[in-house]
Amino acid sequence: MFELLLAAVLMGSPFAAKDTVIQVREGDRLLLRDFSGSVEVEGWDRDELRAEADADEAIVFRFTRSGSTIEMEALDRKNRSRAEELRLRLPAWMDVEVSGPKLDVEISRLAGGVTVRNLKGDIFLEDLSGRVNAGSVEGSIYADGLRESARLRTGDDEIRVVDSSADLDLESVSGDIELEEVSGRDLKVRSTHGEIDFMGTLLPGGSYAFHTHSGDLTLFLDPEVDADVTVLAYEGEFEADFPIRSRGFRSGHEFGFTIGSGGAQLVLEAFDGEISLRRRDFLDREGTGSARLTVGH
Amino acid sequence: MTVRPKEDGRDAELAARGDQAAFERLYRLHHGRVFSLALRMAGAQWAEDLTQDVFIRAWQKLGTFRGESSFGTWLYRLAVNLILSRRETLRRRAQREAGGGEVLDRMPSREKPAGLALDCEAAIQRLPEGARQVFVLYEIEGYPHADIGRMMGISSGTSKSQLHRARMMLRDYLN
Amino acid sequence: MTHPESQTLSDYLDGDLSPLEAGRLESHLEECASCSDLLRELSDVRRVARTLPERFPERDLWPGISEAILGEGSQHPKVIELHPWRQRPSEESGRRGFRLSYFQAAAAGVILALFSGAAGAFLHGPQPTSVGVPAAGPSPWVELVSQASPELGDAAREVAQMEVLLAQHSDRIEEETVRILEKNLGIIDQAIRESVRALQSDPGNPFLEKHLARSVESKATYLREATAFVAPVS
Repeated sequence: MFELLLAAVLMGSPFAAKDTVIQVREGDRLLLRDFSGSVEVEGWDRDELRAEADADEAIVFRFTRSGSTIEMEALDRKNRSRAEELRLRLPAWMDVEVSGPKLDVEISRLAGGVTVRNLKGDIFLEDLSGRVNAGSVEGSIYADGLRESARLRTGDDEIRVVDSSADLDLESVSGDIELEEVSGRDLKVRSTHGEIDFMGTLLPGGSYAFHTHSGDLTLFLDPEVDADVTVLAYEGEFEADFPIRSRGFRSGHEFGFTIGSGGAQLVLEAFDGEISLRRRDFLDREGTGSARLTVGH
Repeated sequence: MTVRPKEDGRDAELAARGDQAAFERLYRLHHGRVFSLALRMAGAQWAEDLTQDVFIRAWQKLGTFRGESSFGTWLYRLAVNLILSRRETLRRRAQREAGGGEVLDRMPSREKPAGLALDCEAAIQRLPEGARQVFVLYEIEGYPHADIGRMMGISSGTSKSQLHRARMMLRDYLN
Repeated sequence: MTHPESQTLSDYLDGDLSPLEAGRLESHLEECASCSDLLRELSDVRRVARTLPERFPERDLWPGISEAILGEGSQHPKVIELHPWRQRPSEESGRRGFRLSYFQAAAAGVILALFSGAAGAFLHGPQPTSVGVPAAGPSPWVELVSQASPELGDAAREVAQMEVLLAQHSDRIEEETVRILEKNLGIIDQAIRESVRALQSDPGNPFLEKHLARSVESKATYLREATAFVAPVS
């Protein structure tokens, strides 16, 4: 069932050296579990995996294949898992899964699926065109250039996504969520207590849902935006720089209106946070004369 | 005014490399001015939180301190920007707080100034927000109108007229 | 010359008038007592403001700052700007400091309980318990959520199970992380508490029901992230 990879076998030992290249097959997936330290993963156009580590003492990599999954470990002489600074180059098509309690991860230029999970440490994602799934208990997540879809979660630190056309599903507890120049068709953004800032494009027919319990929610939109907006608020305030043609209150805490000719479905929900819809072109101006509505119960 | 020695720069370098003791020295040296700024710009109920946030932000951004200006100049500019960026949030939170009331009643101060200075502090707190912030930045912090305009997103002319408005109101309070 | 605009006096004080304008004003001031008085008063305001003593907080703020920036040792937190990768030397790990917003902490109250003692206590305030203390018996938290919104019973039970699991294995997690977990679970508990209270005063409100469900789901999601490390499911 398990098969040690060719590169290791050729060396006459189950271990590969500190700077190692192994051949992989289309459809293979790389798995790094319980890894501590920092990992940089970058895609390239060769069908081989190259691993390098910075370490004071001899470190060996062990690759174990199970079906299409290749599990990689970095071990010291006594066969203990070692915290390392690890750099990997992978075929861009390869799926990769990295996890560990204390782990900084940087992943870039991949088209395969990416899964990252840690308790603490920061996660950087750049130029990824596959599905991305990343979660951290207390670290931050920064993403630039996501193009397919991403589910990102953190408890404490910030989630920041820029220049991305991917569909996004983002959640934080107390960390802030910032989106800048995002243009996905399907966005779900939730925070219990962090601030949510969105600056991006709402596409016709797209679905955009923002939920907060007690953080503030601010959207900066193009003045020409077309959207059907539903606001659900229990307490707090709603402000808009846009003229509101109300579709009326549907219940005590819910009302809807249309901006422009409508099209994008925008849902803004807050229990106690403040919701603001801002015009991007008003960003540098003071005193915009926005419409203000206090929602009470 | 406290003398701020040149060792600042060295402590800033040490702090940028992660030396918390050096950063604490910087805090001890500068926290009064940052606290005073926060107190006058945003009011007593936010001053402590803002001061802490300024130093936490400064720690996070120390890597961008290039030593082109003094550490103090860099820190106060960071403080002003942070406090101004919180304007809207603080305004809303103040509105939401039950019994927001008179700020002066809760003004914490270890060394309450006497006489005219106290009157002036109290009067500054009663100024409308925009006039108060321009007054503090120009008169106390010494920023020129052009800088204040950029920081607050207003024109230099507006900054000048807000300053004058503040002076006229303070003159009434103080007399 | 008629009385100048009072703004002109401010401009004069700040040296913002041209020599010609200043000269004209000075001639006027020589003759006009009321304008001279006003100028002197404005000048007094300026003098008092410029000599205001520095103020200091009543309590030492350093411990709070120190706590917030703690845990990074000599690895200084890296500033993350808009495009972190482009600005960062490639050798650096890009580690960033743990950041606690005091506004958030203040709004959320102190670190809240992970495990509540009783339903009423849960509803009305935080309990000083910690991740290290497993709950005994059926959680009143589950009853409370189930009563407010019956269809959330299963989700609440799953959450309670994960809480117990986490408490049993919390020694596998670093203390600082435990503290952050507690803080964030406390924030979610607070959100749940507020939603339940709102539902009690407005039973059947669909928005509040959805909102409560989302808060419970947030707690489940966060606990799943944490428990995946302390007790990995094979």
